[in-house]
Amino acid sequence: MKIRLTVTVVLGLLLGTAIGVYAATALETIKAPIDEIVTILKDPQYQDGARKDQQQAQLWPIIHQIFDFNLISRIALTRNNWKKFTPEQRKAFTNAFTGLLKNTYVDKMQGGDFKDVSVVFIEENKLSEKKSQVSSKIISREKELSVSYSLRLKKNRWRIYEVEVEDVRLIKNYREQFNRTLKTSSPAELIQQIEKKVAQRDKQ
Amino acid sequence: MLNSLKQLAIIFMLLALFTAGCAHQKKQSISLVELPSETSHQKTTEQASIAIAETKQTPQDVSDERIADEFTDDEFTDDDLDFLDELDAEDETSERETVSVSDPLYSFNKAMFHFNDKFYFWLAKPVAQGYKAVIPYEIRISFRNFFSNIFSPVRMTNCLLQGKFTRAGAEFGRFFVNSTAGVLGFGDPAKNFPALNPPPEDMGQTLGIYGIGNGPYLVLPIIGPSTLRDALGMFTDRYLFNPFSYVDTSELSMGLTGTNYLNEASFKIGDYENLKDSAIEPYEAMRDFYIQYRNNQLND
Repeated sequence: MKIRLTVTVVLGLLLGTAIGVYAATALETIKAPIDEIVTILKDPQYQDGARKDQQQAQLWPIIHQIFDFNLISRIALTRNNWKKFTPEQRKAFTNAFTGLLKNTYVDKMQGGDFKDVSVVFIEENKLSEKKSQVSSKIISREKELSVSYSLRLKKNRWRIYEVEVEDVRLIKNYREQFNRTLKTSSPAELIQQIEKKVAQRDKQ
Repeated sequence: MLNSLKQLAIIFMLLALFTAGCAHQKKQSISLVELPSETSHQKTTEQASIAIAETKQTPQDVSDERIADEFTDDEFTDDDLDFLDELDAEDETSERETVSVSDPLYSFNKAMFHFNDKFYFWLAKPVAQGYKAVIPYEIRISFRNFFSNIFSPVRMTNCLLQGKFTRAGAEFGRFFVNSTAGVLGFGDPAKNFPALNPPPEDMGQTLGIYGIGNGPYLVLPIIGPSTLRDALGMFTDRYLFNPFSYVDTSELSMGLTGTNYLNEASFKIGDYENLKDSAIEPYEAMRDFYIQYRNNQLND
């Protein structure tokens, strides 16, 4: 009896340590939140247009938890352009750009018909100690979209910094755009332009 | 396999975003004036240390815990810079990221871009919306299958020209199954067999495989983004290989082509708006999406 107790305690301790050390894989980290996002998008109680704000309030924290918007903003701007921004401008840019992505993609998802949509996670491809790629498919009645997420491990937590839809990188796409704008405009003007775009959509 | 139809159904700009043409610039392929590289990756240690110093200066907002969590938690550290350098280095080395396209016809292209924009909102979109409202989904899908099936030989030819014999066989099997069991291609029973669903090949990709680079970026009226090579490829696919062009009368041929475009457009309403909403510079956004997409098609 005593031995059994000891064994249990030792096992328990071992297990406890194992859990403490164990870090979730990238796929495990984002699977549950993304499934939850889809569930919220499907939830019939939010189909009423008046409740979209509530739905967004539900969605946003989950999205924020798995996307690294700081890293995303930095990647979108490129190293050279990033250097032209003052620390305050960097913050303002990150805020504005996060708002743009939120408006573009979260609003679009909220407007979409998710009744027949299902998300299937296919595999995780660990590229390095700190980098991983998770591929998935979004299947709807009309089409099947391959969506893959690039994640980075920071402080023991995987977060997304790039999304590829049908092998097209969405964040990378902004590099050329911002580069173009910054050829003729100042960082402050770029931030203003993004803020204006966000405000326009908010009004609609 | 429905995707393969896209290749030919590129009358509207929005379609073109995820459909047409061909684009790829291999490092060794025919040399073209390249856009100046966006990011000079030359990083001196000096620059790096400045960047580190700057991020460390960033004031930390501790008053609002939530904001603090969002931002100070993510302050850039040496570790972050290393990671970004790693990403930048990858951009430089991987074949996939070196893709850029020259745009010497920028003024013409931009004018075409505006024309296509108006064409879409004033004509293509309302017509496609009307069509979608009148024609049930099942029928539109059948049409889509039919057109996709009819172009199967074009794709098969390109598979053969690229030396992709397994894919050519898959195209043939697909064409056979859908033309018979699928009743002249209106059904798509081959859909359920992954072996019968090869990625679509077109002449633009064939030329790319032969080492021909993108050439200058080109925005075609109505059709949308393309490159010189893709435009040539598309012309070959559509006029030399196109089964419609062998139909007796040109009216019928044009009618079929038009129906195909319209039908395909009915599935794509909203795509172009999404692009415009998401972009600060829609022209550059579309150019990049097109080049990325075509490059991936070429490398599949």
